[in-house]
Amino acid sequence: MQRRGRFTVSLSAVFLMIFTVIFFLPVIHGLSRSVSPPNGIDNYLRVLQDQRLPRYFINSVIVSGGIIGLTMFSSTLAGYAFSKLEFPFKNVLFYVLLITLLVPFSTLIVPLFLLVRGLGLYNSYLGLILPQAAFAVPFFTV
Amino acid sequence: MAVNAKRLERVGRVTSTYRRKVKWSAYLYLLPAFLLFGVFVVYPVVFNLVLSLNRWNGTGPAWIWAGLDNFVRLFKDRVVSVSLRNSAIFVLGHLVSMALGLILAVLLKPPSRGHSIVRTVIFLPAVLAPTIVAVTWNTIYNTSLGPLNAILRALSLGTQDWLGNPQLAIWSVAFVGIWAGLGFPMIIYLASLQSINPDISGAARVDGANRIQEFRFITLPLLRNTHLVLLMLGVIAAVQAFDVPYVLTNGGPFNATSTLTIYTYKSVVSLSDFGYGAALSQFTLALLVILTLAQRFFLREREAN
Repeated sequence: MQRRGRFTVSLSAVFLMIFTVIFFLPVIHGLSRSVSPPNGIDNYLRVLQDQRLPRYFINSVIVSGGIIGLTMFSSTLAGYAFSKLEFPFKNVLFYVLLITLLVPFSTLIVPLFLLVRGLGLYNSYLGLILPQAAFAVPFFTV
Repeated sequence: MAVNAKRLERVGRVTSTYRRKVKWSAYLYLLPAFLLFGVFVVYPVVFNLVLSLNRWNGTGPAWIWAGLDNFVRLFKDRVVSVSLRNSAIFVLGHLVSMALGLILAVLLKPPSRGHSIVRTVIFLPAVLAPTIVAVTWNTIYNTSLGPLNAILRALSLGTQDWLGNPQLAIWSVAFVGIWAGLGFPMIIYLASLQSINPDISGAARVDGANRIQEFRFITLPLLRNTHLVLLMLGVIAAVQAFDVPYVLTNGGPFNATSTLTIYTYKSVVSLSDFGYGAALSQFTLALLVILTLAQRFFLREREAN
């Protein structure tokens, strides 16, 4: 539909190509470092043989699964209420919830740590899931 | 037709009364979200506010009342002003990302196989974990072994201590921010460009606008909301920047690449100065709220014209 001169097209192609190559160099650098001597490909074998890795992976699955489940449950309910129902203080409550997006995580680290320990959730999956779900809810409600 | 109109009217009335009716059950729907919000957001913020008015080393039972001492100290602290300057530099970097992202989005808009490769490559850093980005760039910037200085040596240009030089380090960090942050605005701009009605630019073309005029007077103004949303997210991210500068430089040399969140973390974790850390983070929160409200306010102003 759009007609472009051959010159503009090739100019843009050259620009994009140069840009992409420059952009990609750090990634290649990272990859080449991971297989460079003295260890070479052994680095990857060591990663695959690492006994702790499956545990870490399962931890990630459990925690992210829990966060997703809880977030979906509470944000769909809240999202339904905000979009379909009428009730007093609707807008106020919405903006209050949005403030969460502004709170820097550093503000919460110390109180959260004490809170999670106080609730007896320290060193448990729930201790990771609940606060992070609380942080994700406003984002998905929007 | 008449019957239809009547029916439509009735349907309209029913929905409007339905919509206007106050549903108290709505609060029930909101309960889970606000329960999480109350326990894990409101309570910690209030706790933090109280903590910021005290002195506490984190282990002792006693909180010593300090009043506003922590905040007075904060406003005199040189590291805080350096952190604010650094955040401003990150915002500049974000503006560069936005501009480059927009240019790329315009160039990449027509679909083709080459374009989708370019898109993928440029979006790649955005999905890399920030720590991986930082570690990779740490080796690139390495003074003696890094490829950047190797290239400079090969061209017989002077080498630089990219992360060790206090004047230079923040720009090195900001550059990594541009590299990692370019993909997101590009994708958002692409999506917005594709939602622009082609008839509008077609009409401009008929009126004799050339490519640049079309971009300047049609595309750019239509993307206004996208610019504003990206800017707002960028400012929030710049003030809260933590992972990339922390892993790259640990806030050093001499706090030259510190940010408010890194300084907060250091105050609490390394120096066990919980009260001051709380005051710092409270200050960060206040700053973010003010900046966001200011942006919203200016957005409204412009809309009214």
